Amino acid sequence: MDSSAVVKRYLAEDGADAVDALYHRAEAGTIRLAFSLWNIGEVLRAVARAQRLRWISPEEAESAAWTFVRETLKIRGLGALRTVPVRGDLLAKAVPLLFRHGLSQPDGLQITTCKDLRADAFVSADERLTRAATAEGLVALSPTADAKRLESL
Amino acid sequence: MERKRKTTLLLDSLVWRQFQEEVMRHEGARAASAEVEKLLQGQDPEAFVRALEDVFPRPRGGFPSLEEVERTRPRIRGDAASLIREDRDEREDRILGLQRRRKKVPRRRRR
Repeated sequence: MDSSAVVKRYLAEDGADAVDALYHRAEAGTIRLAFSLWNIGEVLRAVARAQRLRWISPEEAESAAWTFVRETLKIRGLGALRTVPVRGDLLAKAVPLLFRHGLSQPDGLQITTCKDLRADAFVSADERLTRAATAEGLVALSPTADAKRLESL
Repeated sequence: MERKRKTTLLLDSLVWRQFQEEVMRHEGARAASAEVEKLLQGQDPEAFVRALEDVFPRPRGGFPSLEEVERTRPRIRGDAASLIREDRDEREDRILGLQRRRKKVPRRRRR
């Protein structure tokens, strides 16, 4: 899962329902989720920026940040979530993607992490990233545009 | 529980030699165990709990239920996924020394 999908679970917006369904199935043990450790900082940064932009109150930001970190630890402890370390080999494998698709290093890391896991699907709410992931041979699904396909995973 | 444990790993000999050489260059001959320990600790997301505690007090209670997460989260007016996209683009621009025109993001009025 890309950070753009994970963040929907903690700051509700369009597509949150599809991400919720993934978490429910993960906790029930029917699927396993995974994301890079990098994404934890990115999601927390999105919460902090939402607060700075006054989209949410400081209290809501504090609550969303803790909820995200605590739920991440919970489902990881259940074996339903794998947090993948940011390894040098994953960063190196992302380099060709920077040239082929004009991606940033964190974008590339999302794709190489997904490939390394040999995951069934790559979930991202970012159109540019899903296009690149598809071109790289991944089954890239958006929580907004591909909600039905996500249900069938 | 004992603090240190002697263990055995089966590793690719070239990978191990390169690792030892790198550790030797920077940390000395006896630092391999400490460096392996750091790498293993680096996989643990528990570090984010300690980091967040520097900003906000740790809430009481256990882990949140699925329903609690969905009931208590704020609904935002903006697009959270776009915040991540902007962050990644800005980071890239800083590295490249470019200044991209920033998209105007609406602020919520104070009540």
